[in-house]
Amino acid sequence: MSDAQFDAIVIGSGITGGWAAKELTEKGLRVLMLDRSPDVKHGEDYHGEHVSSWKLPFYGKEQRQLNDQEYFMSRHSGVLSAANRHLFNNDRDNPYQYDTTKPFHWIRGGGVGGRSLLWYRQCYRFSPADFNANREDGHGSAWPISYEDIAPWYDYVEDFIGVSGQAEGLAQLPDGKFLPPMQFYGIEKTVKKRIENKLPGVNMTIGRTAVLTENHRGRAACHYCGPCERGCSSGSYFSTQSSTLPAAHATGKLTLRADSLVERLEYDRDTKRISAVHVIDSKTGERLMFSAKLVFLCASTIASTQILFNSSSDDFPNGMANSSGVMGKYLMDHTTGIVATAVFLDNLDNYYYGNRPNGFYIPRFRNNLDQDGDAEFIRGYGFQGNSTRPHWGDLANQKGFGKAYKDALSQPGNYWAIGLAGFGECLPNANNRVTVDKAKLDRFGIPQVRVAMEWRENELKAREDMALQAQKIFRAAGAVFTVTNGELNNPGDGIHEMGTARMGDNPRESVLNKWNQSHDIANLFVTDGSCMVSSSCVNPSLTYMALTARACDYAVTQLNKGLI
Amino acid sequence: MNRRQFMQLSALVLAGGAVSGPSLAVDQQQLFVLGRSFIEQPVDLFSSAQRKLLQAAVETIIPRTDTPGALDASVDRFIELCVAQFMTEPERTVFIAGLDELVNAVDQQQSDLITLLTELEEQHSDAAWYQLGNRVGNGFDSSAPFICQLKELTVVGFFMSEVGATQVLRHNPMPGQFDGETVLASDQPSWARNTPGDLS
Repeated sequence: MSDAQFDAIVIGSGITGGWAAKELTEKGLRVLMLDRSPDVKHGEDYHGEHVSSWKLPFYGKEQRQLNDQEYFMSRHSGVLSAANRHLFNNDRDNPYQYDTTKPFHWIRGGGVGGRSLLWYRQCYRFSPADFNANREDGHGSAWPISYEDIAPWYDYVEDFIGVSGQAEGLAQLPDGKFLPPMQFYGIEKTVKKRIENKLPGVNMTIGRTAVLTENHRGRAACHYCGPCERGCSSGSYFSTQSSTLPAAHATGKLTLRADSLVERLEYDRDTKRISAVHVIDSKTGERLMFSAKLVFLCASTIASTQILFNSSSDDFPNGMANSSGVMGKYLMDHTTGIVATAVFLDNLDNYYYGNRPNGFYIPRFRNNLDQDGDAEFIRGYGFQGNSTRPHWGDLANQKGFGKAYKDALSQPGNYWAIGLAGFGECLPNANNRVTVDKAKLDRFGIPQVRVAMEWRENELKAREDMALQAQKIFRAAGAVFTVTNGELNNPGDGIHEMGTARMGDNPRESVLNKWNQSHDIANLFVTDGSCMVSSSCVNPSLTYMALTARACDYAVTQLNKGLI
Repeated sequence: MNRRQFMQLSALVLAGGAVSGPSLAVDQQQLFVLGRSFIEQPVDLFSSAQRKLLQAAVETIIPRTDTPGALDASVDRFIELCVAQFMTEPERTVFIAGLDELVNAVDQQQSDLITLLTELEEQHSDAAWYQLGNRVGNGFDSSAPFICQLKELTVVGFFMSEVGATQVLRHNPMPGQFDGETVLASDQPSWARNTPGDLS
């Protein structure tokens, strides 16, 4: 392939890489998309889709020995199974370093499309207050953009991917362009009414999710089979394969090269541009080099940071585009985990039809307008909830044999259970960071990343508050029984890692400008989670997509003006 | 699954296996791709006496009534495969010792099987497995005594099997819509699950 073949190189094919490829090709650029992993063809390669339970190894019980040896991080996703193992990273083959007493779980995809095939698909906008938070309380650095800057891009992205949800008019959770909302369970309607009556300021809405409730842009409405994470050949949830990749291919300007691991970027001192992308074919070991006018780095937060550190040169001894020295620092994730589970004896004559791939959401209700007087933490959290009518799996752990046991297990249990998972904002902290370890090389000879992150006081205090508030919510909701779980998930388990190449107006304090463009290198854009300045408490993927589309628009404008 | 898809996955699986993946996983993946039931594969772990006792035990736990029972669903075969391939060595030791004790007790005609199983439950009633909030999901309790191992694998081997999922539970892989407020009729079975760990 000759150098003149491409106008832009997009590194990574996940949620942001797919968006970059779509936007840049639609604006007329010839794009090469690189991904380290094997190709995953839409539909054809969703090997586990709709596979019956009795065909799965051990009928779907975890393949523990295999996971212990090879998928010891991927298993923490909660959705790894024999039906989608080929979509996950092999953790033995692709190692990284961390302090085992303070583990960080880096959960990665293992195919083209990355985690866009595996995500939980929740889509929430950051609020105006989220973009002001750092400026106001002094943690981290100020966002270089406001909600108004990104709002049109949220509209644009939502319209394309299809987000179902209910508009609520809440300042802390701006509404978007929604397809019709998914339905509540009957018990959720009961609970919602009670909560909203008794607890002013606490709202409950159906999850806003990138799953289609009606046909949309050539993709079919959800058929409610359940396990989205196996892939969806009807394209009913947003993934690279279902949405952005077909759009990019339709332009005739996209070249996708799978099995292409980016080893490093090369900087040209004379032009002050990235002049080459060095690639190792992960199947053959062959070394290749590609060039283009623009480089979009969308490899996911930690992998993009790794590539930049491994691209050090005389001009950038501390990592490419890292004249500020902040790269790798301020790693964030969300605190996650089930906070409380409660039992309800209402709506017992209700059952359900179909598997809803979505839960409900209780948006942030703490420290919303001002700091709450009784809150020992700043910022906030939201609850994602789900309802269960118990099945045999929930009822099996009791004594008894024979017909009575069989009959009891064959029918739904005589209660509803609701679980609340807390998603807490994580403050940017310079000591939570990604570095590379030149003494630890991977199978390609590339220095591995080392991740050091721990929850700090504010995250821990917020977590304590979640347990108290969840009990309060369940009391108001009429639960007959509540159990709380004090365990906090490990950093990384939120799979929302972000922040290691943050944006900012000041080049001495940030890696990227307000357009996701490197302060140091004009033709380098980084639009995955690494650009994030603060984490909010809402799921970040929608924001990454909006920032990517916005950055592409800017980059092509600059390119056309001859400024890049 | 068409032949092209099968060949693609086989190539992928075999490539992975050649690196160092446990051979077990490769075999299982191939079965999965071929579209056969998990239990349609050879296993030869138990003696005929152990098998005979296991068959009686699973049918005692989930008997044939007006609907099929554990033996109709070949739960004994599922369990033999799980003991051979799913369990860790310590778990397997517990299971086989427990099974042998039952074989001996029945041989010596100490009492009938249901009495023996009930006694075992009483003996281990403080096991964590029975504690409130525990459920049978995708994992496995490594501390579980034999009687709990047996019940868990019987339940999974039954309700996740083709017979259990389609003839005892209700199986609808393609609902097409979601309704969270249908009317629950009495004696209406639960929906079958996609994996044991599914919440609903």
